[in-house]
Amino acid sequence: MSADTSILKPAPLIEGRITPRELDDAVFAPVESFPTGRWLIAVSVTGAIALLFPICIANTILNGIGTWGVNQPVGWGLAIVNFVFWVGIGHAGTLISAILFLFRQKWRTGIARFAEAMTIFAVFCAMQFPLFHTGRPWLAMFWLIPYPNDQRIYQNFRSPLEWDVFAVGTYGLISFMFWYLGLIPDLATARDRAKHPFRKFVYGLLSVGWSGSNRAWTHYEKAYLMFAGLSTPLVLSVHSIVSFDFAVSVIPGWHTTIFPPYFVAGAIFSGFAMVATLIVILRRMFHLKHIITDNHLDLMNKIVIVTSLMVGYAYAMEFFIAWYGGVAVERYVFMNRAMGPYAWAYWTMVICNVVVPQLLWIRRVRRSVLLMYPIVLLINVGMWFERFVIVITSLHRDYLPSSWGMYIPTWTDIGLFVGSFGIFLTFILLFCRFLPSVSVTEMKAALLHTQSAHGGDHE
Amino acid sequence: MTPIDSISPQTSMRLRRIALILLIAGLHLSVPALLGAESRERFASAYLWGYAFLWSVTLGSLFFLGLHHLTHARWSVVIRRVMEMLAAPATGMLAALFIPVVLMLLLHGHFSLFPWADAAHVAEDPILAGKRPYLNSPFFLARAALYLAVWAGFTRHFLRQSFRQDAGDDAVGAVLRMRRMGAPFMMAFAVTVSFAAIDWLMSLNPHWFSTIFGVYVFSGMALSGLAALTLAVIALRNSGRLPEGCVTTDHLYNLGALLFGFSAFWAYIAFSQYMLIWYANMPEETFYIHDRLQGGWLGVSVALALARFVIPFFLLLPRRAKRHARTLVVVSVIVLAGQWLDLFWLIMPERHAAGPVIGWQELGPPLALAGALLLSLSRFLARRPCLAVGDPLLEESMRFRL
Repeated sequence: MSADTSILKPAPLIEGRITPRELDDAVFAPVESFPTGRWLIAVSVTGAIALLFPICIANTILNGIGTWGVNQPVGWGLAIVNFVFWVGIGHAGTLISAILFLFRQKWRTGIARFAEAMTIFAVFCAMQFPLFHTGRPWLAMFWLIPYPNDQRIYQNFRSPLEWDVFAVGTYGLISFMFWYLGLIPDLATARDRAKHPFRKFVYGLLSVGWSGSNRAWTHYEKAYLMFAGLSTPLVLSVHSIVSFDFAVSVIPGWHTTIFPPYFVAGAIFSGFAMVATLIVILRRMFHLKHIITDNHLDLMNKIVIVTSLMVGYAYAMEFFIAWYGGVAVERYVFMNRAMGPYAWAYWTMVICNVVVPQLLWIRRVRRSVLLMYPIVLLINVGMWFERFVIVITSLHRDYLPSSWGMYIPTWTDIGLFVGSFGIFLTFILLFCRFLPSVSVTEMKAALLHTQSAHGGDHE
Repeated sequence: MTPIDSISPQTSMRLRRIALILLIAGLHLSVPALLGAESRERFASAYLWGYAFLWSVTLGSLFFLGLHHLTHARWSVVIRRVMEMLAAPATGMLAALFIPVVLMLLLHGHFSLFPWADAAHVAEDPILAGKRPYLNSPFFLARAALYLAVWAGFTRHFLRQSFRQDAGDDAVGAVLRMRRMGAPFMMAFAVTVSFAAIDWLMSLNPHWFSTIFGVYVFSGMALSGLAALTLAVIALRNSGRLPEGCVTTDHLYNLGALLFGFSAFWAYIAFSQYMLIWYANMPEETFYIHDRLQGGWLGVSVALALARFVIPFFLLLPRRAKRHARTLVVVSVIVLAGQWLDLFWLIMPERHAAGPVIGWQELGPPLALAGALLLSLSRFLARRPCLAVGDPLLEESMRFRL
């Protein structure tokens, strides 16, 4: 019976047989060897790009927000587009680490660590934009965080922008703790493997005295499950609250009830595309193809297509209800999106997010790096344009035709965006160099489970 | 391996008796309701109410059946046949029972269910006149026919392959054929259910619109399908039809966890819709919510939040509760009552603005339709084993442990 039902079962998590020792060696190799020339070149390039960010920030602080393209009627420009874009990128990490964990999807083990790290860096990049958008970021702490004060002045708690402070802050914090908790046993492995005393000291410090005792593991497992439970509503709440920034308003094109789930689906969509974009490079650079297999790419691409269809559903439903609702300005805004001066952005979004990903229906495309790579790159582009379309097109032509205008980003706007990519990629490269980018602990558990279960079938 | 006797088809006299009593009582109340002019109007709303409930349970179960195939799930093979049993009305009964809705629409001089079907009314109302390309009887009926055909087609496919397995006919191939239809089914399901929700429920108040409405109706549908599934699984297990070793507490845990999750999902969607409309405070949207927060409807709205979210959430929060059959039964009953209430809340304020009205005129159709649903389940049980005995993954599914 076992012979003919094997076709109905999922592919193994790891290709070939591998011992725990070999797994350690494969994952810790980039951490323990002297950085390769390729890594050094890569980090210099991304570091140079990252320098654009402080340069443009200096320009912003010295000369004011006027150096950005924002003005009447478009008061929210690329800064908010980038903010939503980066928060969205983070969502894949939490989905993989929390939701897929609760759904007992064992394949997540290969990619969870990397995706979680990506979440933290993406949230870090995201937070910069609203912070500098306040104009005087050195005072932002007083504006954003409620604290007891003599003047009895408090934040506007009715504003979703204030909710964002808490939502994104909590999200960043919980994601970091979840990620770090998962890292502890692996850091202890790094400590135990270390030859150099300094190395041993640093990893020893980071692994907070992990002993690997039975009791430590019991607590660890419990804490991990609790964090997964806590993170799951966070995945939904963060981007829902980001969507409230728009949806609670009365701006046509912003105020629509489907925004919260639509934003969450879009965030997961863009996040998975970004994970796929980066993990393909990672596994090639560090020779991890047997651990992050083509099967992983296949499954990730399946999630990409599911979320692509959800996003497509929301685009279509918004358009349909804009007509069905019969509100003149709502109809106009949607026609303006598709045929107005920013139609190129709208159609870039539709083609990249809904049309092109349909190629992923083909199994060969999902499993071939060469074929899927352009698709996920285009999704990254498309999801940035989605936020551009939402923010810009709804604002540039509002209720009053006399106040209509166009939004043109300045070099500072573009420099900040490009620079944030530099920061993000530099962080990713440093992470791969200093921390194990695959959870060795979980992989070993999966290894033991599958390889022994495999043996059990034949006995 | 399994005690074949218990799972083999057999008539459950008790289920049949309950079904027949409900059916006869329902018809008995419906006939006089059709005779009076005022009670006829109330009958129309009540029929839609009962039909929408039947639709929710059937398609909610069909959703989980499709999801099972789409995700290549293995733990749920032991309960696959129960999902198929609950989805079976979609093959024909759902379409047949839609005929009264068609008749009520065509005889709109006698029944005023959908305000947009009244030409004189539409002529006076520029908003409705603008929606005429979508909201008109021929197109409405064509769409309904399409939805019902899509659901029947997919359900027939899933059931046919499954029954073929029972006969031991190319069992592996049947699994693959069912899985292959998982993705097309899910896409078709999302579109048809959303638009059916707009057509059958949202257009009762044709001025109102909400982009999340399809998702809202889906969330309640999935929840009620799941509750019906949980109830059916536990009932079949308790009556010995599903042998003890088949459906374990670990399977029940999964059902409980899904119930918990979907109840939170419903709350998320319902809150998103309510909060955004409340906050923006635009008169073209708020009236729908306002209608449901005034007079007697306020109590119904509060009860809705309790039955759909607060009570199931807190009852199912402890891990032990999700493994405990009796707790699951209580929660499932509350969730199903919540679905009746939710549909009542969507449909009835359009008829009775001052507050909820429940009389014998409202009870006939829901009772009859509930009886029809139970009767179809009992017929299914009399013909088919309640376990997918031919599925090659059945043994693995029985061994499923958390």
